[in-house]
Amino acid sequence: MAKPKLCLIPSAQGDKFYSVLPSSGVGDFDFSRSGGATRINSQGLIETVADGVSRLNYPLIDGVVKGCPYHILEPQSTNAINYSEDFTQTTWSKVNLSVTSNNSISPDGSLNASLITSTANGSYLSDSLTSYDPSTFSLFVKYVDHQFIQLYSGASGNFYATFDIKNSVVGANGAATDNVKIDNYGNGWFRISCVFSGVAAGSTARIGFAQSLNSTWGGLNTSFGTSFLSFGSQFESNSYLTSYIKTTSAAVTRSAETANGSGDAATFNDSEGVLFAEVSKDKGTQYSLISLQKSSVSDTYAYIGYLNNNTTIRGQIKVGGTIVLDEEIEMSDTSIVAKILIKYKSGDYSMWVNGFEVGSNTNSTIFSDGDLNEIELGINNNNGLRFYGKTKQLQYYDTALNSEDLEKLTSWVSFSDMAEGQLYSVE
Amino acid sequence: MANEIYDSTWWGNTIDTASSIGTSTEMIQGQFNMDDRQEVEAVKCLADAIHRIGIQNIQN
Repeated sequence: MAKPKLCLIPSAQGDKFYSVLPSSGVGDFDFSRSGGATRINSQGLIETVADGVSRLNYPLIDGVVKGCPYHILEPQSTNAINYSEDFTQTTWSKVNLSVTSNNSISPDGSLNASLITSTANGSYLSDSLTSYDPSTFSLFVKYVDHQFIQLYSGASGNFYATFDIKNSVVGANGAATDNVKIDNYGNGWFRISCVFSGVAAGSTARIGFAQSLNSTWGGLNTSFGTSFLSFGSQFESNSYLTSYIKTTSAAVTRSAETANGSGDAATFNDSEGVLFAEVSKDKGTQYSLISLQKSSVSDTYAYIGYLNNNTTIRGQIKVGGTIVLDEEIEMSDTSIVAKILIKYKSGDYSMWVNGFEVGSNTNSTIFSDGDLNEIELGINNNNGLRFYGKTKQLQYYDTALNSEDLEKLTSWVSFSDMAEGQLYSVE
Repeated sequence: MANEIYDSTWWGNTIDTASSIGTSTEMIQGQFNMDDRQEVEAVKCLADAIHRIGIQNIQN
């Protein structure tokens, strides 16, 4: 197989996504984000990344870092909760419970987790905030001797989700609540989360001592004296869970991230080539595209794209306004990493996903010299089509590889390689 | 020798990778140049990926 002309292997952080090929650095992506953000570092701990610095995020499988990092790109999101880690503050109403600060090591590796103990029946924390539609509510928790936790809005019985934090099980949830998740962060810590949608979820975010896994809205403890550990609460203006945003005395907004400007006209062959990416899309109703394109022109591109659902991958190539390849495949879940490529050559266009050819086209139209001059994690600098998700690798080949090579490129070498690549645990 | 320092140093990884990718000096140069632009954090991951790409390049 030919060697890639451009190759991004996520392995460094900075003001770019650094490409190992071309060796000149012309394949680096310009990265932007105003303000800081957090990531999971190589020790599996939450770590703050400085203003404008790209993020390498390490995969956690069953709470343990496993495998190589990927770049993450996320949209703007605001954590509306004040004092996201300090539940002693007066912004948190403490109903029938006590808070002991700095009681245990939190998921950021510091002694700053709070012990929350019920002191009477019906125990909950409540924070007044500006609500959104949709919104995603999340919290890091660790079991001590209270097993069931409920995240809910004070406004309506439609907004709640109940969790078993001892056994990592999701329980009852409200009619306007979905994407209920419990993610293992290791050392007994879980990040529990749910999405509220339909209407703005009221003006209070509540964390309750649920009575059981089947507890519905506000179904709180009927005995007391039990505890759990808590850290990092987040009520964000987004339709899916994103990385943790720390707050103190006010809401904090993490700005949207962009990555573009990889390569130039000399990098790309306008007659034939292959764009390959190992990526996944964040859950949500946004489109997410990765394009090899003619900058600042909307009618000449080749993109690997995710539609505004959580199931469809599309490959499309347009040359001077003429669509020469337009293929889609339905996946079970596009937040699972996939290996996707599109090939272009006069009379020989195709799209491959996870080792299979999805479709092809024999259209003879092809790009003109100098057309292709950039890879963007997005397309044409369009805010609504930016890629938001995980990038495990990205390669560009300046020759149209044969089918055997395309199959090899989009396949995993073993079952364990595939499982690890798609962040599954194998038991 | 390379294996002894593989996993622990940037040079070790690059030396180990070099043996697998033959005459593809651009890939070796790419590693060094990338490290010049920005310190590489996931050294072994980068070296392993280049090793894998180098092997597939040689095999065909």
